[in-house]
Amino acid sequence: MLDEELVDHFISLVEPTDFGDIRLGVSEGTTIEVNSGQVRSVSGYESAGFGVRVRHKGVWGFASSSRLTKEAVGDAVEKAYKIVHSAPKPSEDVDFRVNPSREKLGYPWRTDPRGVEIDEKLGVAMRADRAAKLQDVYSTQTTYQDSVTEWLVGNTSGTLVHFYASYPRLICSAFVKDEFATQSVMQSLDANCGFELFDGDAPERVGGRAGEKAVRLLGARAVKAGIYDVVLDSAMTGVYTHEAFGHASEADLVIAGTSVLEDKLGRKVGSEVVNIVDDPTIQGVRGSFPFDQEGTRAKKRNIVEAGVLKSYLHTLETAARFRVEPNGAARAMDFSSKPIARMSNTFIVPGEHKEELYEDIKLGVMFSGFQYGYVDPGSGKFMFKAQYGQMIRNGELEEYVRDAALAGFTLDVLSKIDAVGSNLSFEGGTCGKNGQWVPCSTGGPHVRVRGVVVGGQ
Amino acid sequence: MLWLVDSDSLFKAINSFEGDAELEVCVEERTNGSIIFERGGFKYAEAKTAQAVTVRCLVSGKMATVRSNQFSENVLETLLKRAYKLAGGAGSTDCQSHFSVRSVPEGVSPYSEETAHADLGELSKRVLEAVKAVDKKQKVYSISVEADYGVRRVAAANSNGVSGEWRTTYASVSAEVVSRQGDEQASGWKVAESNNVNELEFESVLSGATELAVSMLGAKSAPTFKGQLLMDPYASCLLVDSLAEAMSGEEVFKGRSFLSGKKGSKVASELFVLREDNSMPKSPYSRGFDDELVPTSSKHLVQSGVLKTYLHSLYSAEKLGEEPTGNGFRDGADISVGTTNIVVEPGPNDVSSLLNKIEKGIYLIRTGDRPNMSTGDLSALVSMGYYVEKGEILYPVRETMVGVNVLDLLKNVLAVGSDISALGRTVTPSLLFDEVSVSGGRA
Repeated sequence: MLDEELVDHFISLVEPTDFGDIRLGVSEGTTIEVNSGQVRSVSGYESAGFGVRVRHKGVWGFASSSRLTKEAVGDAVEKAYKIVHSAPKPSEDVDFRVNPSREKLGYPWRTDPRGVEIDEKLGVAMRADRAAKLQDVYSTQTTYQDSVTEWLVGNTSGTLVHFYASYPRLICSAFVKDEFATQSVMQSLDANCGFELFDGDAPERVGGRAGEKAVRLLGARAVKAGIYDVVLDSAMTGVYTHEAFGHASEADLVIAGTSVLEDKLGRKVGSEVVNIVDDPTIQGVRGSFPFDQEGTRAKKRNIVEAGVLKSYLHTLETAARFRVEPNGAARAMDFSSKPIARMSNTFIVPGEHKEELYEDIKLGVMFSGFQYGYVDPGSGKFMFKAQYGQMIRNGELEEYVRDAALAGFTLDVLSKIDAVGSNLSFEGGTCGKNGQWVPCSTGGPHVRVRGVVVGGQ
Repeated sequence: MLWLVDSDSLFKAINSFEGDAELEVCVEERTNGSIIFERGGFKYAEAKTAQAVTVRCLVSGKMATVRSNQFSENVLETLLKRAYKLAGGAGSTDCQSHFSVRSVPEGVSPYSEETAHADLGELSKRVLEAVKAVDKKQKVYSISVEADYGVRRVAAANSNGVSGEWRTTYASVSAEVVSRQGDEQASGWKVAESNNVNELEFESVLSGATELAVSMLGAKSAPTFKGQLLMDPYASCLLVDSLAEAMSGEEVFKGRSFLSGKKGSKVASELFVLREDNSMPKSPYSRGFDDELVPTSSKHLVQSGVLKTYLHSLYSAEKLGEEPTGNGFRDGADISVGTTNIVVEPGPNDVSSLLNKIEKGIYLIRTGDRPNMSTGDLSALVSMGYYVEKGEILYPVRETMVGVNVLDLLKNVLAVGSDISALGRTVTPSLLFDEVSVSGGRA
């Protein structure tokens, strides 16, 4: 159990006119990788430590240590103040107020992975891997991961919150090989919960789905590059929403002048059928959390309503600069990282289209699953590659295609969405920003986008 | 600076462990300082120290790894016991037979006292001066700069009697500049690295990013055609990183690399010469041995157009029946195939002479795309680049993709530049290729 006395000691070292906060974390986890039925690696990790911030006349200093002792806290505060006093004056200073939270939450899930034997965890990975190895599957790769962190966050404004994060995950890839290429499809199961995620036949379902989808790609050719009407499945909709739009809504990027959403609050940024939400309060989803890493209680954020930009994602400081209430979006990768504005579970809200969205497309591409991508939030330029695609001709889904990529500009594509499906599903991921990786979820319904650039051969 | 432990102490701890196992221990320590400027003003600074102990254990052909950020003699003893128990129980069966048995050299990694004793306040002043020197008269909307520096030190030993230590310093600066013209917004970024913080050229990085951001305004879609592709050094890095990844013995063994079965074969034009250099004087990536205590080496990877070798960890070397090459590097707890410095030999052509060789083509400055690793097919969005005709840059492009197979690309090298830039561990000049498909929205 993390020691609240270290928080008290930290607070006693911060100058009364300054703001300071401390994050203490203890983590433990397991990773197992299985390749085609063979156990490739088994590893366990543990870490513990704290990070402190002090804010003096608008300047932040940060220091961290892996020693959970009063002496180490004292050293870190000294280092943070040394930084503050040697730094140039900030270009702008703002006063910010904190509505303090005080709450102590226990481990809220049924089965703590820290108490599960390694053989049982290995069994989960092996079962998924076996299920993926269908007759035409060339090879498989399955990764089991769990990670539990106990957090204690306190600050000089009176916040003291104690909570847990637990991220079990199973990722299964199936590879198929034909005369053209080796291709793979990845399927994952993840949540913010306990080991009960793997109850029943959950591992077999993950592996089986990866295998079934991969086999469909045998004989698939690369899509011909060009301008098409497209339908994005939940995974691709989610990644576009998160990467292309969500990052641009992070208030620190807006302040830095590197977001295409700067100066657009209250303005139209997409078509009227588009509503975008970031919600860390959805029970059990990988990107959920009860408090952010500044101790602000998590809350649902309506970012876009009927195509109009309504809010950004805020830390304490960015909220003060915009003169709005903090909305609990300050996240840190671990105790040794500073909190920055981040997403949680980001998605386009389902619409009313019950029918298939490709029915009135003459020539198009259906994008399924996410492979990789990148975005430049400053210009809004992005590219996302799907795990696989399917050609649409005269309203019918036809042959599978590989190497399908969606490219364009964030706001341009958002304005070209003309239909939003009624389905909703999430996929867990790990989001990177400024060298920090945090668990998140993306998802949404299927959406139809008119006339966008599709990359291929 | 006081270090937690030396390799002799690790050796003693391993030798005193009672259990029939091969053991390997690696202790890594880091100190790091970093600063962030945004909108031209100071935003944030931080100082960190961190450590990580990784223990790998082989018991009866099974292996396990444990890792902790705590270190003491007691912690090490506990980790050795945990690794032993884990390996003997649910340990991996698809692993190497042994840890390294070859002695390792010392003193390859460059170290700078200036970096080790750098001061965040001084660094902040230097960055601020560079930001002030940027010509912001027109179109420059925002400037963000990050700079960091630090010391990394590793001590490692295994139960086969191999031990070693190294330390290095690193420093980097990156700048992102956003330009604006009416409703249009574009960006440019540039980065520089060295082992010596005093040798970072802040002004050059900032002016380069600024020039790029402003030059990207007014972008248009390119026509669809087949022509030449000039990759600037940053774009070339993408290609070279992908090649190094495809040379990974583990990917080759799994049949997932487009270079599988091509060792000893001609895979590129003779103009393209690629080598690994483990001892570049100013590079923080120079190393005498890898994370498995196997000596690294400088070697040709592609010479006279021929693929000379695959890159191996102990595991992949054993699987392919080849010698380890000192390319086993740790990413978190696990070892995978990686490299020290990867270098493309420069040629005789400056950038203007390369441009003059283009009849119709794209000058690719930045892309985030990478090829399909099994086929080598590359479909890359031109995230920053220009359309070129008859040697003249006509306009920056948007919504434009280039498509080619990497193996075809390498055989169609027209010329190699004399300019050299490093992005991380990859050092390349500009490269000019022929026969590349370009897809844009214009007729």
